[in-house]
Amino acid sequence: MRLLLSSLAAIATACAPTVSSIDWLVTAPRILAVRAEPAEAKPGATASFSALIAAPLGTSTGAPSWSFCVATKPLTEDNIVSDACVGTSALLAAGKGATILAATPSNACSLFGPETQAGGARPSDPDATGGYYQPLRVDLGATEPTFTLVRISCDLANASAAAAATFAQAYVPNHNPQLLALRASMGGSVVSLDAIPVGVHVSLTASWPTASAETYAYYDSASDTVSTKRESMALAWYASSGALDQEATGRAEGDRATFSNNGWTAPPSGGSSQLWIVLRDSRGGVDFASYQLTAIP
Amino acid sequence: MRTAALLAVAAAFYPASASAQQPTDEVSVRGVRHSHDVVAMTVQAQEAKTVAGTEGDPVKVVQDLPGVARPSFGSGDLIVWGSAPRDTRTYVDGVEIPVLFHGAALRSTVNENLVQSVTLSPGAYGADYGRGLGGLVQLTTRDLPEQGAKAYLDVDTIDGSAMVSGALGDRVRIAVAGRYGWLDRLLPIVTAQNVDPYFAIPGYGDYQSKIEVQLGEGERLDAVLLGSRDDLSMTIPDADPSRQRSETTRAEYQRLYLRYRRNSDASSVEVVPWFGRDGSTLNAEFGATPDMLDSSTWRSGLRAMHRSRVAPWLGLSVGIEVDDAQSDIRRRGSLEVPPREGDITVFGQPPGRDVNVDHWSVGILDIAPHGQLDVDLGPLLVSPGLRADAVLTTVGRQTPKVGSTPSVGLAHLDGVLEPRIAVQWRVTPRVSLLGAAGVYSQPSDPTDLSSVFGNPTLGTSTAQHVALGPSLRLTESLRADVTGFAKWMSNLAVRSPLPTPQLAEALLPDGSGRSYGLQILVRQSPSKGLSGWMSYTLSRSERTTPTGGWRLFDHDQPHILTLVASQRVGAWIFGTRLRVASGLPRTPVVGTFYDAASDQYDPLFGSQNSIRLPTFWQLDVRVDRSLLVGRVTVDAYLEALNLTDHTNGEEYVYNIDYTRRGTITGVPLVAVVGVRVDL
Repeated sequence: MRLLLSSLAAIATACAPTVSSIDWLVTAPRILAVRAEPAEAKPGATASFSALIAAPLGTSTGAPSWSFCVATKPLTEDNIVSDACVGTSALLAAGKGATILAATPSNACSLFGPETQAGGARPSDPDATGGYYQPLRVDLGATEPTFTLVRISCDLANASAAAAATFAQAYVPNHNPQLLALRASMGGSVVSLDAIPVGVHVSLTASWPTASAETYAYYDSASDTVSTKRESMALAWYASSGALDQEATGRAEGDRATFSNNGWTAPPSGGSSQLWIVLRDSRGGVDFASYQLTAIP
Repeated sequence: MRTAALLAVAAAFYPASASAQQPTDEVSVRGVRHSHDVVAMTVQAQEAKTVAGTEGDPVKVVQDLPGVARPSFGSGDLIVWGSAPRDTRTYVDGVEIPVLFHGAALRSTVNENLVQSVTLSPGAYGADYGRGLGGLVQLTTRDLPEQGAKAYLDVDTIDGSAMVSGALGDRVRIAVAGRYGWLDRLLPIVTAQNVDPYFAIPGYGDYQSKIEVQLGEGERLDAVLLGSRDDLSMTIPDADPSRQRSETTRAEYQRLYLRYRRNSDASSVEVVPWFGRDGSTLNAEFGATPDMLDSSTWRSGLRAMHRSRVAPWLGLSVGIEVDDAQSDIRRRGSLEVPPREGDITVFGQPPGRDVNVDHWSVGILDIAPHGQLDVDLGPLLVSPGLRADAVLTTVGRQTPKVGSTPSVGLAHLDGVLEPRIAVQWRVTPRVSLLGAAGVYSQPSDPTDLSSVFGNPTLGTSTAQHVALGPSLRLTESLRADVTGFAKWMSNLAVRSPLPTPQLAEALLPDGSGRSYGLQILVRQSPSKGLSGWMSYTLSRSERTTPTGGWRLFDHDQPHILTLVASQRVGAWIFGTRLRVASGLPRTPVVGTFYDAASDQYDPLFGSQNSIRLPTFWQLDVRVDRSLLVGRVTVDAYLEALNLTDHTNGEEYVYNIDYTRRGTITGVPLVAVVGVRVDL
């Protein structure tokens, strides 16, 4: 029996991969998130685009440059954008700076949505929320490129007239969620962000208003009906020092809670640390915030 | 004097005259099962179940036969002579079954005590089989004991099985068998670790029943029921629900067939009508992105064959194969899932965000009359054959659904003439030259015929096979075969390379493939308690599309070396197996970009399939011991898999931003113990 049990345990532990990664630790300038305002608009509409650029304290960053991707992704590629946009052959310059104003390409719904350019062509597929997206590239110095997806309002694909009318009446374009003030606590007691004892573990709570997790109309092409879904919320956490328990937390679609907890251990050497939080809803809406945490002896 | 293999062939065609010459001490044959199946290798169950690493399951020996590549880790795929896994067909008594193994080849789906022999035809086989571009695996069920009742109970660390058989009078014999896998339930008891992401263990079971009725002299009717199911459920939790992954799969099949056989001096007849169902379900979620594929297929068919001796030097075989499959398929999710051969991706990469849905029906009726001659010209045996596959494909929807508009279906008829030939030239009593060639076709996979995810107009794929080489009889029990082979495949379904494909053309029949190589087999037939073989296959398999150059096939494995040996010493049997295989091709990650919408990184790839996983090698040993306790026989075995505890890198895995690469390692030294009780 001992032999049997050890053998089974060996099978169970045999296959663990040998790589790990700490993505939440910011050691060099990088883009963490991009927010479009409004979060969803018709192609051709002007929107503001803001990048959350993270860098260790005392590090300067340059201004990012922006460009729209105008190449459709072939079915043979598995990334979120076409390889042509990772190169420079299919980009449309949009501006330069931490925040820019730019109009999305007016043909976005035919490039990345259900409106096909040529008769008989296969339309793009929506995501799980029914949305279509215009890829937007942001370049910051020599770092690897960053892409985000800007939600665009397009007509439904292959819907009956009745379903399309119902959807048009019920659908409200997405709004960005809103992060409320971060709360830190230790042993149930609130801790000031600028007076965290060195080396201790504090609980961080990020929260958002109930309205941030919106309900929205969803067209189900299988049944040709319009139903209602609720956004899920995802939080990404980053820090310049210390140790975060999780790099990502969140709430599922059916989870009504409006907060999410993480833990942070202050560095034993003390000093200031930068913390960044990015809140994303499942329809592409984004909010972000940064905080300075100070560990004291 | 020809070898036992050739005698067995003769027996198949000239039953009365050849039966007297059949050697009685020979339990396995190499070479020609039929005279037109010159590169097949047959292993009798009695020999196969003593091979180390099979845990007593004779069907698992297929993975050790020449020409069979080692599949990717955790897979039970059969990759034969560079063909895709689903291009190789598996049959039980001539009836196709969809899967040969439970899970990652843990166990065969047919009870080992019902199996008489396992035959692998890697290619260039005769006209009586078709519908596949790859190889053939044929299981034959054993004859049941003619008298009395027998039972066995077999228990090991993986599963338990039992079988009861008995004779009801002089003419009727019956057997019932079943198996239940419990490894998925045992593992959580011994470890708290979540093993699911990299070594998921399915729950499985199977059942069989066989009734044999002796109708008269040389005339018999068998009724056989087969069933199998696999269930797998796993979840990779994450504090962020959008990163949580879960997957539930179920695969099952049932078969019921009759097998009528009549043998006389000059002819033989075999008729096998059959009926069954195949079902598979995949439900996965990558965060909020669903992935569902549900397929249910009613299968029915008929295989009939008449063999006769027209003249002392001429044999004639004519037959027909009918196969009907009526599928109902639902799919929801990304085009990228499940991945296809040729997709450039890395292990663990999340699927695309795109979601679509389709529900479609497919009917594929394949009627294939075939005929074969066996012309015996002394030292030369020539077997020309012809098979004509007429495939009627009906698809319930030719364009994607628009609102509630009724669907418009389509039907298309494909016909393929498939000439085949096999030649055996006995150069000397010890040296023969074997050659075979043929055209092969394969109907479309019903899951490829979606107007949303595939292309309903896809037709049959075709291939040409050629095999040639000498066969040397070194001693009475030792022989060597060297076979060069080549395959050319065309009309393979591949993803459309266009940025904006045409409607209902996500897949196109534009893929081509080629595979070529050399295999060497040295085989020791059971003699003085010693049996085994050494096989080495050198091969290269490639694929291309009109817009791309030739690249390595995803399962290309240039070097495969297998050494299998068993030695009986009294009541003990000692066995060993050594396997060495090239690592599978992989595409390197040469860069990355950040996806700020999902907070993840996407990889940028280098040249497709331009690196390989590390070379795999593993040594296994097995010890069997039989005890007779009164009227009860107890067989116990111990297998040590990966005796040297060699660390095999089975898959590359990357950190989150693709800056570091590691490996998932294979199974370390594992002991498997089993006990079998025969009553």
